[in-house]
Amino acid sequence: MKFERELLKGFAPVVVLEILARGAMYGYELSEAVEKRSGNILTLGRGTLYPLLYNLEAKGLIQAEWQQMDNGRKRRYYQITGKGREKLASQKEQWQQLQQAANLVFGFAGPGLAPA
Amino acid sequence: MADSDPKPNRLPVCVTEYIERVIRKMGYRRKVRREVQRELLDHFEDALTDCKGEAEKLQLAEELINQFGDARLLAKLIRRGKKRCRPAWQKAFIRGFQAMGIFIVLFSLYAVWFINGKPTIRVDYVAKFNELAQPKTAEDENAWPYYQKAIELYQPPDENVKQFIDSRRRYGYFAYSFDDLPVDEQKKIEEFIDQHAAAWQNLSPEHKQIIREGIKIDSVDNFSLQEIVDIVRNYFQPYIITEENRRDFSSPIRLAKAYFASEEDFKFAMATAVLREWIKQGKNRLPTDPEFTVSLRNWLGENEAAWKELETGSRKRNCWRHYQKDSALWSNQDHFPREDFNDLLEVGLWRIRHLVQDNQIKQALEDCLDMIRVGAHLQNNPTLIAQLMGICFTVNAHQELIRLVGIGTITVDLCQQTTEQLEKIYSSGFPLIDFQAEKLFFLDTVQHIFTEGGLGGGHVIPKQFSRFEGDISGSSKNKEMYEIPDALRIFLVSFFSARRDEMTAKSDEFYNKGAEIAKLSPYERHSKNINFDDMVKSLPRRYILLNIFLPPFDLVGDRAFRNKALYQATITIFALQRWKIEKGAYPNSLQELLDAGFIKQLPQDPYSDGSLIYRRQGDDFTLYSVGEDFADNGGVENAGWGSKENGGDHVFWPVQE
Repeated sequence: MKFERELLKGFAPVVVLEILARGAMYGYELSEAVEKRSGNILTLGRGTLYPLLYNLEAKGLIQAEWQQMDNGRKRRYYQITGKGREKLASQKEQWQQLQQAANLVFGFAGPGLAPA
Repeated sequence: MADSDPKPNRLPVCVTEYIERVIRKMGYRRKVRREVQRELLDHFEDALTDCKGEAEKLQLAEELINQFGDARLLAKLIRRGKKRCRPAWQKAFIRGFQAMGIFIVLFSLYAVWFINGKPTIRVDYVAKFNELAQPKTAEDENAWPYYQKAIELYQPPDENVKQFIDSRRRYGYFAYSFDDLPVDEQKKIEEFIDQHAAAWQNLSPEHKQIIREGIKIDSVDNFSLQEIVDIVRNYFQPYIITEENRRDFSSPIRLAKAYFASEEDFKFAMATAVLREWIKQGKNRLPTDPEFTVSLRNWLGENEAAWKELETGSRKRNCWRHYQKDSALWSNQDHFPREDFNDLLEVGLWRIRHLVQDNQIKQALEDCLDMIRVGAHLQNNPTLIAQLMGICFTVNAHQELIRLVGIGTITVDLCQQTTEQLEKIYSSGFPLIDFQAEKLFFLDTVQHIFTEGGLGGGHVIPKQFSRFEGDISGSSKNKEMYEIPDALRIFLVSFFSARRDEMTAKSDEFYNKGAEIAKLSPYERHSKNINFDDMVKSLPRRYILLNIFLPPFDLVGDRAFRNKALYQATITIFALQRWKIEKGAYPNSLQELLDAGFIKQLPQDPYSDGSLIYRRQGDDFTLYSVGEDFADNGGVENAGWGSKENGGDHVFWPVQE
């Protein structure tokens, strides 16, 4: 499903932080993980993936380093920082409250975001 | 760290081209671009790994490229993100650099606006000045055209006469021989010569010759009195020949030093030699060399026509000149022919001396009175430079009058006539310095140099200030400001100067105060503890323009008071001479003169609250002012008008010869 850009604008960083909180990943791996863990609902646009990662890196929420693979190639792995974890916790709390409010307003039933 | 040289492995051409386009559009540092390129290549490689054939790979690659989107936009977003990753210090440095760039641009725009300002001339100060300068008399009563004619007719002397005149002129008052020095200075020189005569005597003939060559002792006339006195004065203190002042001495002197046992012996021997020769050659009032005397008389003859014009002009009621309307007042002011009037003054003085030598005392007195009339005309001129030149004329002429009395051949009638003429010249009162015109000059300069007031305005226009500097005479420039490069100086003055309205207000304050101070005698200022110098020093530096313009009101004002004292002393001396002739001896006090009607008032001492001091001494008398130290030293002369540090009085009589 294609979501409106403004809807996803604040959501994408939280999603990326959540996924990175579970382990370091490189760019392609992360984009696949977002699709897979959202049940193919969310697709992180390729054109926004790397700019988003660089912005999060600039804010100190994630950090990146080049790591050598077994096959000799190097990849740039991203992992969440302490500051990123704090930000994630705060954002998730807000999203939970938002979800509750949306459920009440729209009369939604069923599971929302999985709790942290 | 990314591979130093990322190589795309088995990727379709469209992918590599797309990534290259992104990287190219991204710009930024090379290392960062390589890393991004590596990441993007890795992403595509990972995405296309599982493709089974080239066709599938190509199709998937194109889908991916579409998902990544426009290369330019992607490059822009990536660049923005990477810029945000810069460390804080780098961001601060770049921001600082940008801020400096903005400042430079804004400052440049401001500088262009600042430099290209235009003055607004609102007040016709030239007309105001002309109104001030011109008295309400007819044009044919104006002496100025005659003075101009005299200047045009003036003939300069030949080189020998010129050197003679110049060397005599350089001392404070017009002294041209050892005998013109104050008595205490003469004594000091004689004591010095006695003390160091041995230094000269002990020299070998060869050494004496070396010194003569070094200082051209055969023509010691070329030394001005001031130079002689400086040499003597220097030897009372340790005098070090340094690399800086070594060039003042010719090379024979430097070589001669090598021959002497000590530098001291050499210096004293030289000083003794110079002084003895100079005293010997300067004994007479006039040069004795017949050929030279003829040259001097010829020069006076050539200037007879010029003198006649001056004389005619001096008999006119007033003297004024018109200032040109189409230029700033400052450019008019600098055109006062000061040097030309100095030349005419020399003609007058040497005419008088030759008339005395030829025993034409009456004519000599007339010439003195003509000079005083010229001086009085100039003293009543509104410009300061003319007033000071007027003082110069009158001071010299009064001193010659006093010398004439000293000759002893003046009759009672001549005394009376001369006194009456003198009093007639100053019948409207003795002029003190008037600064009205100076203030007009300043205000006119302000309106020519500053922009109009208002927000951001009212500043000095650099080009106008530079033009103003180019026009004014060197002596009125603030010497301190000229030790830094021109462009920097003009910028500093223009940028940091007070605004126009501030400058105008401050000028009102200072000129009004200065004019009040100039009306006070030196004694009055001393008793009220008024010091104009302190006032000027308190002026903030941003009033640099005012600093350049402000005349030393107190010093200049003193000149007028001294001149007035000299005038009154002259009247008194003539009266005393009359008394002596008529009654056989000088009076016991000036009060007797006053009571008998020989003088109309007692001569005022500018340095005390009383009159000049008169002491009868046998068949002679002393008449003096207590001088700059405001203390009565018993009539002991010190150079000039005494000295605050060393004391001394100013003696009008006896004449110092």
